[in-house]
Amino acid sequence: MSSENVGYGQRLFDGVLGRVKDHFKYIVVGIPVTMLTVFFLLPTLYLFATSFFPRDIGAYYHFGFTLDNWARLFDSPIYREYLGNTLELAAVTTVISVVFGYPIAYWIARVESKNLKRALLLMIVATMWITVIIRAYAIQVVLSSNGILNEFLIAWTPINNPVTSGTGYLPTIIGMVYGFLPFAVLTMYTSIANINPKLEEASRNLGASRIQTIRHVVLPLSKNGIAGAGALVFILAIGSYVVPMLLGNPSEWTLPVIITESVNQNLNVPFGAVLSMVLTGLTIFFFVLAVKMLGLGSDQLVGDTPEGDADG
Amino acid sequence: MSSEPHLTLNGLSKVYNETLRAVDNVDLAVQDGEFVTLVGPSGCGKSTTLRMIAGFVSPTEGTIEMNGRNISELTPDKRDIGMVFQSIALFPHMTVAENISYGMKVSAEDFSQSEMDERVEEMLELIEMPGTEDRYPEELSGGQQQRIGLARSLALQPEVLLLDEPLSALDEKLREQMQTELTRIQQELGVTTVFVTHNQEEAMTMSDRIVVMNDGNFEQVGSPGDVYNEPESVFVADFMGKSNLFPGEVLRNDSNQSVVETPLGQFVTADTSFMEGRPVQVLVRPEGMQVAAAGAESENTLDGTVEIVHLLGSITRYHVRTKDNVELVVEVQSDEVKKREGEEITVSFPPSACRVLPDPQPSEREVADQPAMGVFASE
Repeated sequence: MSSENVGYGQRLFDGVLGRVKDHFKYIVVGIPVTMLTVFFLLPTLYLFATSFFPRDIGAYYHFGFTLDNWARLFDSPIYREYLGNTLELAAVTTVISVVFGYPIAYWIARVESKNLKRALLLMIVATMWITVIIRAYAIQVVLSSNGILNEFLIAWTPINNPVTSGTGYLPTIIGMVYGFLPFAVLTMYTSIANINPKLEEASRNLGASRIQTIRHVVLPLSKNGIAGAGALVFILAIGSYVVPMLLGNPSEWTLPVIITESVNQNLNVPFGAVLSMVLTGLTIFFFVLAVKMLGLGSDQLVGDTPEGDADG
Repeated sequence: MSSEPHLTLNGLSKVYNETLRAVDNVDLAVQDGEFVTLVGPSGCGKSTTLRMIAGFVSPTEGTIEMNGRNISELTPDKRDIGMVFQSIALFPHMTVAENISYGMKVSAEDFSQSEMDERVEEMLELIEMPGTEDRYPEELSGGQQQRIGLARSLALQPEVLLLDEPLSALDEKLREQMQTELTRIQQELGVTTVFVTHNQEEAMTMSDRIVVMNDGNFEQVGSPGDVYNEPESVFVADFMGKSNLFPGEVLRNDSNQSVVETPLGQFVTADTSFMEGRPVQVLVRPEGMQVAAAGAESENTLDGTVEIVHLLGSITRYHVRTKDNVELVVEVQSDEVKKREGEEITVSFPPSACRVLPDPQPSEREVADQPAMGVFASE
């Protein structure tokens, strides 16, 4: 094309467009990288720096360098306890979510009617439409000592005293599982739905019972889905704040609750920063551990390959 | 048929949504060691029938018996029936050996590891793939995978073997190899086999007996020769091989001949099974057609123009269009007749090459979905 017949503006436009085309992949990668840098990496680095700033009692903090904040973490056993609480709650939530979620995921994946399958998936997603605060209060209403469950039990069974209360370990676990079960179900559903149903027929045809078929065929072929669901729920559960805050007694409080306490109640921002760094570090540690231990590639975190991948 | 049948279907039906009769009251008795093929167009109910035998679909009516025992209520794992799937369905996370010994592993019987190894070796020898124990299915070609599927289904020495279009995923050349292979293995083991296919050639070459299915019904049951040479309906004639069909009406019956009036003229046939006035169709197989020598006088002649010539080796197939715009398929020995496209020829067929079939009702004809061959606009 001859450039003599086109105007300057057109040539400029073509030039810019050409540059955009030449550098397209850098632009595509650049946008999320910029976003992550500005909104995640820099704030995290600032938080890390804050954890070394000296605290001003009654005010906030000033620039400087001190190890006092970190020393407090290691000196006081109470924070190790909160750390233990956080990990235990997350672990229990993960196990229950995966164990209860798997049969649900399997059932939805194998329901024959497409309409029923859609309805079930919608129901799973719909639970996430309600904010976790409302769900937490709902659980409290059901479980509290003069709540629906206890009134029913006292009225209709030989039980005379309330067996549950609105806050504590059980309500916290129920609230956490209620919140994270959908993530576990959906992750495992994708994985199970990708297994050729004929494999199960072949197994049945060869004399295996339903249970044997699940154990020898379905479970091994969906193990990446199970691992992915477990890792996802665990990492989400480590960072959960609302449920332990509303449904837990102080003994069930987790790191995120203590961080809020430290910053909002005690106005101790540097120590909040220390705890935040611990939480961030934990999350990254368990994420890397999950990826390494299970030999997961990034594609497997999304779902198993069709037919399940033969990782032999 | 003196011995008691090995596998029996008694009035078997499968009804979906209360009205759709996928399989409609079929009966079949399979003898011990017999190779029976269910063949028909897609949606004819052949796969549903097979899946009922395997136990994956429960019959709406009727029973399935094996050695005289009703097995229709048993779950698939209790039936002692092997099955090879169209999608092969090898377990991708197990080796060849683990796939083949899977049935033994999950069995209530306690097989020792050495017994399983021995059986795996035996099966691999049978399918001529020794030494592949430790390979994974994804490392094997499609044909090899299908053989492992066969070995897996036979490892527990099932009473009956079911083959659900196992060859349709393979390419042409491999398919022919596997046809021979399957027949050899089936004969070697003498296992009673029910095979499902939509490919009539496959049915013809492999089976002892063929069941032609249409619209949930058994149209005809017989040896490959029977269903090809003596089809009982237009559907069977049309589905099992190429055919020339001339709709018409029986004009008169003599002692050993019947004259059928068709829009193309009167044809003399040796088939006197229909009464005068009956609407019928005259079937002539392509190899029953002859190209008449110029000027020769004979019965049943049609003039036409050669449209397409297909040299199939020792046989040549001509597609001939008559003046009435009817397409004929004629197969003759290549060395006897040599015609070119566009040439005018006279086609004839002796009364003995004609078979007279009942004309299906128009609605049935639609279901049969026949090509326009020999169908007239004037009807």
